[in-house]
Amino acid sequence: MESKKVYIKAIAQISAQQPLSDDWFAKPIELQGDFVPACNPQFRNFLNPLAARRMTPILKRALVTAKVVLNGATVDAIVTGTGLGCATSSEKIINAMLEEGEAFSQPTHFMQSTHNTIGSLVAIDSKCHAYNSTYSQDGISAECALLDAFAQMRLGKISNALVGSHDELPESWLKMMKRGKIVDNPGQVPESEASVSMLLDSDKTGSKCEIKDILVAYNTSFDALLNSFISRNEISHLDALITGVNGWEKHDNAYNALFSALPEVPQLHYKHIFGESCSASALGIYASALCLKHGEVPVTLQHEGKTSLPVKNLLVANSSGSNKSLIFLKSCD
Amino acid sequence: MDNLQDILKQQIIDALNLEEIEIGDIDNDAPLFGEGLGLDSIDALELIVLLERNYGIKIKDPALGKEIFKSVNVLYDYVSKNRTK
Repeated sequence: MESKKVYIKAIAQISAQQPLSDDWFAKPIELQGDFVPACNPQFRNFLNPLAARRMTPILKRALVTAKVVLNGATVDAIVTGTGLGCATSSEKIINAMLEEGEAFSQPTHFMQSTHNTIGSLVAIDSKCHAYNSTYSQDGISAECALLDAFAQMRLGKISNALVGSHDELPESWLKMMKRGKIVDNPGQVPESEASVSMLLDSDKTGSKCEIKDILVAYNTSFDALLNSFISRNEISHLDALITGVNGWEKHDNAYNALFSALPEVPQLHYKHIFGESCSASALGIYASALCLKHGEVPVTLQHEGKTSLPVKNLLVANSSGSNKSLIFLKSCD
Repeated sequence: MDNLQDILKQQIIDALNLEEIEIGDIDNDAPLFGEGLGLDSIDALELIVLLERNYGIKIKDPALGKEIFKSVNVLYDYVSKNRTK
């Protein structure tokens, strides 16, 4: 039986760049400092202020990006990725416990402190009470969520899905990361926050691009993955390789195997535009989908080599600690 | 702020994240739940925690909670008579 095709029908982001906008493609906001928070849209344009008053920013961002891509449609599944979950609520609950004991835990923060609060809230709002799952796998949470929906669609179990990846960064987390010296290293892009929602559909009409294949692997290197991924997808030519390089040598060394194996393939970077976060790879997918839709790559993404136009296919690579992912995307033309 | 009614109003605004509302917008006699501020059952839980944390008042009977959260004035009377801190 032939596998069904999977397309990214719509995709929206709230990040350090202009929210819900593709303006960064031509005019990106320059990021400075060790942390750049997400630039929020006017939430009141999308959410009832009375209903939204209990929501922390990550919930509002997830709900708004989901609303934008769904545009009133319902889906067969909601799959969410988040590295840190609702960290602001978790932090408030824990701080209150430390200061006052368990007796004074605030119900709202308690209810919203779990990782799957995000997917649940989107389900309630969109009235999609079907399959709902949340993946929390550090910096490859987005790919894990995407793989779940992709596999179900390929098997024909579902025909569309809302996939999101959402992360916020409370101050305490940033402090801990500084103490651990995993941020603010020489050349490293700032930390940031990200909320990306995408609507996957088996219908090609109006889509941004097609997802041809996804590979997520734990405790491995790109060396061990690349050849089999290229051969199983019969890739003879790649227009570009887009990686999660963030400027910190210790982190970026993981990509050297890819650069050596694909010396002729132009390299694209995106984290200098969007910053680093557990959901940053979702922004890499978003940027790639946009490049494939337009058939071009903005100068600001180009790092090494000249991309031939129009861009027809892209390999998206992400490394998070010892975990790796490869995503092969193709234009719909 | 030395007026307990205003203090209560500010604490309600802060605890329930009523960003759009100021002390002057809350009528002392208007119902807090339903029509007035439009609060709901989760807000009631937040207010119970607020009373215990700030005034040492423990509310164990939900029916009593319904009674004392009728309006700011009713809440003010109850807090004035029962506070332990």
